[in-house]
Amino acid sequence: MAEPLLRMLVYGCHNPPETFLDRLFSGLEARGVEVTLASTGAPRATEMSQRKHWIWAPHAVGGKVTQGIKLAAVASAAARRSWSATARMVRGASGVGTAAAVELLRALPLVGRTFDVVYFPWIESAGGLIRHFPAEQKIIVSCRGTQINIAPLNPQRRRFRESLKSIFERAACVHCVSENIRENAERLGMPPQIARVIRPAVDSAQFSMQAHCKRVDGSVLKIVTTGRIIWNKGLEYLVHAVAILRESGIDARLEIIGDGPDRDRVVYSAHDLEIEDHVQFSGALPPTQVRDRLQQADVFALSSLSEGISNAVLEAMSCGLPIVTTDCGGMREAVTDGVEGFVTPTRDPRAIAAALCKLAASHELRHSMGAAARLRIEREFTLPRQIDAWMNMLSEVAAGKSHASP
Amino acid sequence: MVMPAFPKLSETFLVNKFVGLLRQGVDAYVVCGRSDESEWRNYPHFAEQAPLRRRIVRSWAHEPRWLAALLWPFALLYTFVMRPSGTVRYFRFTAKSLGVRCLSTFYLDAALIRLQPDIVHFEFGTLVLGRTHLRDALPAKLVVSFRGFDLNYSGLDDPQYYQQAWQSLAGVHCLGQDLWRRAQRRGCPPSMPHVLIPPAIDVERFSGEERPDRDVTFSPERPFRILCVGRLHWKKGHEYALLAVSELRKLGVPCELRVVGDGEALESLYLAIHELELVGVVTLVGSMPHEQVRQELDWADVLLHAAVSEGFCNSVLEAQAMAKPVVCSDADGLSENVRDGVTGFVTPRRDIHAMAEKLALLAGNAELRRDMGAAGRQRVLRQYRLEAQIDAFARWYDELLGESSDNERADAATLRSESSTQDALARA
Repeated sequence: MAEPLLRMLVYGCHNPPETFLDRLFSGLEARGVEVTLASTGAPRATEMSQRKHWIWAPHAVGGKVTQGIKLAAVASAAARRSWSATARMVRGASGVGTAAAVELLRALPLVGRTFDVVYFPWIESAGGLIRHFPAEQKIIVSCRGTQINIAPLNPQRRRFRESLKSIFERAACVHCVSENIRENAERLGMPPQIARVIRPAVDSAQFSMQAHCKRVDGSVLKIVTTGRIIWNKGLEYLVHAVAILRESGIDARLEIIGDGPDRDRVVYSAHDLEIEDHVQFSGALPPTQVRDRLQQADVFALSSLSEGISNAVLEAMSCGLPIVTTDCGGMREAVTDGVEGFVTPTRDPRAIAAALCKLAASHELRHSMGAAARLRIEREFTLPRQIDAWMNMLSEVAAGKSHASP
Repeated sequence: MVMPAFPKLSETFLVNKFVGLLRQGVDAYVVCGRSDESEWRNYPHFAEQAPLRRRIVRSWAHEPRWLAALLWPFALLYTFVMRPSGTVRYFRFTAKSLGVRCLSTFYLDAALIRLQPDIVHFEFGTLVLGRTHLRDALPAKLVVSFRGFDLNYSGLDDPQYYQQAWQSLAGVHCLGQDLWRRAQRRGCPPSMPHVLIPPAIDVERFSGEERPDRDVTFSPERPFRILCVGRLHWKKGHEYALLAVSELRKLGVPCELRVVGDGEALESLYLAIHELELVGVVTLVGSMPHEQVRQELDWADVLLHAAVSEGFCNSVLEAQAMAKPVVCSDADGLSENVRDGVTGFVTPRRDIHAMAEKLALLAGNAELRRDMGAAGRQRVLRQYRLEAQIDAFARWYDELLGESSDNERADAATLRSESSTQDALARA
């Protein structure tokens, strides 16, 4: 096998990775990057790929006994690779106790292994770990949403804010999923010169436009939304908006694809607003089925209170759906009010309902906005574009151009 | 009385009920999963009373699972030694109806088998799920309290959720008319013996004093003080309260909001405070013991409760007892709790404009605030006294057991509730 262009370790993603990460890694692999996952078990195959490279990095979960056993296993494996580095790390662990043990458990799998770049897809998983890397190790972290837009507002999480600062000091490059995230990260102490905005991408071939003629004016308006059911998605406001819409005489139906801890709340809202027969909870679905549902819908609605930039919206745009989105995070970077859909204020069900109402009334509007959405994806959010940007970033970081490590 | 944890600050009404029943001579025990030392600190007056604390029985630990497996034989042995016939009866019934599963249910039920109660009262609706076999296995009368979430959204999309329960329950307690209606909508037969007992509060501990700064015209120096009390959970609708306050500011009313409570919605509220530009206007003060909540109520000019789902709400009662006007949503029991236009205002839930409008009305009219506050206090004194609530429960339990066994129970109670309990109560 040919020598890889670049060796990258990914630390702290699911196994198998989230769809958007999986797509990114497959794209990078196709360009000659060797992607290694740090995971609890051999990487599970996905629809997209079958990953071969991985290192064993157990989760820091379970009781004290389980963690102790895991720690011993990880330490002995590390010592076999490099006795001196392991000893140095154990000595350098901050104190004794559970916190130190967890830190070691996460850091030891990296001992005696070299990669051109270590990548943390979620910035919070870098905390506590980042100081264990040798100074010359190049590190990239991603800022995606919650950790930048929400957590730092909570005064009880001062320690997290401080850990963000140390991560920003140490990272060679900080990947931000939107301009909005970049601005907020800068406010939290990120040096501007290490930021790189690369927006997510969609597989526009997979999330394709369905050519068939959709809803005729006057029949049921099919509204769809996808995403985990968590409070950040503001689904109670969306259900309220649909109730307002129905009250005004528009036969609208909402499909919620996804699952999550706030499901009770959304089911209750639907019952409480007496539209339970018009809200469908489809649960979490695989990407191909999500696509099918998107293609059958008339409008995509996002009621989020906070986002980095919503992959769900990009996928819907790729399927040629007009979008109604709240004005949060980087959403304005994907949707221009009045072009690909409508942008409404957050926490305002009446505004969401008004936007949906406009789209319900006009077949032409839905069609033209849907076409504009598809066009924008093809221009700005394609996979090759994203992979190009990533390759640039990776090679710059690996060559040490981006930011001199301290 | 079966509940997940005892005592718990946000469930002080259960502590009041337990102590009240004991005072009445009811031979009451609490069976709970957790009993945290940290929570006891909020109840110093009876934390030290050993005879009372002996009546609080923790069920055998079922987490982690290996510990449960380890303890299982001991649970069997102990229960069998304490109640040989009860244990045999339990297994004879459950082996037939539940099969092998009776081994694990036994572990959960061991504490109840040892106590052999006449009545098992599940203090929240969801607790009865999977425990209906107790009716015949103990045997005992099973009753349940519906307090809000259990009927409002637990298992809402499963029509069979409470099916078994409706067939096995001897009675249902609801906090108000609205919950009783919801129970029927979820399949409870209208013929089910039921009782509506609203929550109650210790009126003497909540009393308002006249203060000179109550009648001022509000200014940025002395803003209109709004208080929200309730766990930081979506059902309490704190986000709508923030939106209403934001609207109120748009109407030009200088105001300040304090939110008492803690919970998982904390970060969503910080985000809302930040985005609605309410930094410095809204303070999240965290949860606090009852005495301090009283002080917060004393501070406030009005209580705002924007809940989307609420059983009845004790803090709204407490605010009325403190002679504070209330602006609340019409979630479930709230419209029974507050008399619209008399002790406060009831607005449609999720209607932030209506809430802001009513708040503005109160902010601009000192006389209205005073009158509504006074009417609220009168109403609580008349209808929501703790003593009356305990009486109602004791009466209901008597009814459930029927006249004959009633006398038996009374005898047994006096026999069993050793004098030490009564002494401890007197001291507490």
